Amino acid sequence: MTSALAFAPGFLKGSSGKLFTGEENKHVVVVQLTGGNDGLNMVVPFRNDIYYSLRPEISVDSKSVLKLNDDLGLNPLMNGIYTLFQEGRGCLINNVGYPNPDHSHFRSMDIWHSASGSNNYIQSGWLGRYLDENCEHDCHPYNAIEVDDTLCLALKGEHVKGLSVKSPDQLFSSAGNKNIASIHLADHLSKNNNLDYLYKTLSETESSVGYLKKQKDKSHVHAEYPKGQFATNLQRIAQLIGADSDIRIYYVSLTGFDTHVNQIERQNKLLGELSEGISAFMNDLKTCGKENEILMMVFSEFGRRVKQNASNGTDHGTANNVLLFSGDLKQKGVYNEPPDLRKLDDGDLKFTVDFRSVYATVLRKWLGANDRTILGNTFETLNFI
Amino acid sequence: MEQRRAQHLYLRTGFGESLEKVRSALSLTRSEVLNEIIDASKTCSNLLIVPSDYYLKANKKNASVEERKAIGKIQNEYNLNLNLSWISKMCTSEETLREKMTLLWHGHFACMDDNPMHAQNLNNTIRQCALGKFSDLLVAVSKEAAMIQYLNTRENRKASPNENFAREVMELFTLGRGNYTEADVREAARAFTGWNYDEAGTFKFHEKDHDTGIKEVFGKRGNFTGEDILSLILERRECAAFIAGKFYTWFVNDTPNKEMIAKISKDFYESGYDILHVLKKLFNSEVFYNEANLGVKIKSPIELIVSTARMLKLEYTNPFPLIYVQTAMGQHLFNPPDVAGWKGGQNWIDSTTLLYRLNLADKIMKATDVKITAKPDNDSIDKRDVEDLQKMNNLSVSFDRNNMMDLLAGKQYEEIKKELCSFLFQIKDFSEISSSIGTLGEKSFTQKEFKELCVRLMSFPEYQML
Repeated sequence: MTSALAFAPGFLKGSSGKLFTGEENKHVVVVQLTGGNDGLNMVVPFRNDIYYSLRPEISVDSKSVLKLNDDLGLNPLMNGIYTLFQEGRGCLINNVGYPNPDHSHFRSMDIWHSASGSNNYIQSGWLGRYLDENCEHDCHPYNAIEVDDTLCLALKGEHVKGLSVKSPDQLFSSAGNKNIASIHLADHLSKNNNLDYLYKTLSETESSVGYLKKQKDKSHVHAEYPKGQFATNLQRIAQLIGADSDIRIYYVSLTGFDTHVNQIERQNKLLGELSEGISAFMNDLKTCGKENEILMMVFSEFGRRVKQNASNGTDHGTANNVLLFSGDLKQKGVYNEPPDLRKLDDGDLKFTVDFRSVYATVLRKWLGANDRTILGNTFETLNFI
Repeated sequence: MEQRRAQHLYLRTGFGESLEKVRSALSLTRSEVLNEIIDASKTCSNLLIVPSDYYLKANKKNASVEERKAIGKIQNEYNLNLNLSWISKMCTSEETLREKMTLLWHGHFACMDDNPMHAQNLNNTIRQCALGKFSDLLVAVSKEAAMIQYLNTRENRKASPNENFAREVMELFTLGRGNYTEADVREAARAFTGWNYDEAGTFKFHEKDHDTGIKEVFGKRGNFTGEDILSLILERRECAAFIAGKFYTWFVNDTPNKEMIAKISKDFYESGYDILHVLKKLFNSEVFYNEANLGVKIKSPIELIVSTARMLKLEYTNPFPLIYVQTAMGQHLFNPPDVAGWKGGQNWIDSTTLLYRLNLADKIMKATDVKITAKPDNDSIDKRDVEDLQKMNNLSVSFDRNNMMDLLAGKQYEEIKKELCSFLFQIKDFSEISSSIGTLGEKSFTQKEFKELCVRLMSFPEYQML
């Protein structure tokens, strides 16, 4: 915290000089599985006959699963994550969803991003509103970083938007261009809403770039990561955490889970990438003594239909599992009951845990934030942390 | 007509025009200029990159591993060239309104197909129908191989319905959320069963896969076919309203004007979904030219790339890096983020994309490295090919056709600066920008200084607006 203040004089204006209320040195890493991950083939109900009868061609062999308990086992390609569970660093929540689920990718992702119900529309994201809510004085885009080309709705608050950075070097050189550096930014106000938005974004960007530069200079490589963009992105996050950055939220995606056709090969490849990346990341943080400071949450916009379709794939479904990783979990392993395949809702899994309960838990118990204001409602908190 | 409104018309109905062309419009009336624009789009020239016998050469059945690799490489090259040839067409074509509408529909009927022949066919179908009847466009697009592949209509069979297309056609292409029920989606999916295409990419109806039972959609019952469902959708005024809203936000202002949209919607419905009819009315309206609607839209990445070339009459002589320029700014043609297309407006802008945009003029004018580490956003692109392409990341640009120096010859620096500001910016008051740039001093005004001044001005956020 102190190091961050040195680079951001704006924060010193306030009385306490503290940027965030709530817990210090706690970070959240969100991993989004885009496209609708088939949770039933990731965490397999390997003793359930209904699962095998509804998925004659695409089920995962019960003998090959990595057993988490008597009912559920991880996909055999997820050895890395399996080890994390064995070491008590992972937690699995089943049947996470919301009432009146939407089968559209975009709408369901919007619901997860904005933390709205399925019948109301909110134009800001839950993590963006966390920024809004928790900035005592001034807030900066870099307090929430998405490692990607573009910024998703989850990180867009009503007042503050996070920063998307895929390649830090590219960001630094763009900001350094003399024509841009010399643009007069102070108090730009016209009646042109979109133009003002460009000026506001530019001004915020400049202060964030300055901060990230300092943090990059302080960071160093700790560990080996597997090849591929996903693992590289996690490595960048680990480096920023290692440099004691004042970044509360990190956000990263792995895409390609919309497996309507020939699911197995495609999903297996992605699950392997997910597992190896997360395992390298958690081990890296453990080595540098930071694994108790982070909580990682892995989610997808929905799960998939229990019954396979005729193309050896699965169609859009509803409730799904959420994975959590941290060195500081209160409840480890399988958190709740497995999906009940006997009681389906028109072929889809029924949710038993509202995703906003997971959010409320993360906000209140991990970040020390006011979950009620941010989520606009009270949701029961869970006991995994 | 007035210069700023002539530029407005050119930018919104197309991709902007050169200073020379803008000046020639000044002695004409608004409707004369609009008629010229509409007349120029009466013709339609297709993209002709992928040969029609492509599928014979690209047949991966019984192909060896080596042959498959070779086919993959050809496929990637066609996809790349298809993208670049469309950019080039937008930069040079006289059919500007048609290309602008093709771009609108390309995002509206967002679709992705690795098969370049399918992608080209869909793009040309959209282009042909872009200004005709929306009903024709909807039916034609729905029957394109690319769309049937992308939204899994092919896998939608009587015994095992796949709802993907039925849902998206209502949610994203015609009615919008809230104007249909889950039951409508499930029943409509049954009606689309049997829709398929052959290896040449031609639509085929497979009768044996079709569900001939009674379906109930929008409260009506019958043995509906897929075509019937599209007709039932078009019968609903919500469809006209949904598309009218799209026209308004695309051409006029991101903030919807309910009254104006209702007018367009009524007209659209009553004219039998005549696209050109309602566009012509819109472009002739006072609302379109209202001060509150000038310079208030953020250029899409494609509009930025293309309008820069058109306005300055420059040519991308090594266009390959434009693939990465598109990706970096978040609009890679033929590769929409999802079936909802590009969201547009402020969604184009975050810290990273904004910096990239502000730097773009500098990169283009100086023909420097576009520096992007692009990830393949399409499963078909082999990583190795991407690396090959990244070596070609130096934009090269030709200014041979640029005659702005001649047009501005004999004028003083201050006057040139003012002329350039009025040409490059759609905002009313640019005095602050102009004064922040200062004077040239005693130096003579050469081509080099001219380019530098352009870059300087084009690095302001105001240049991002149209």
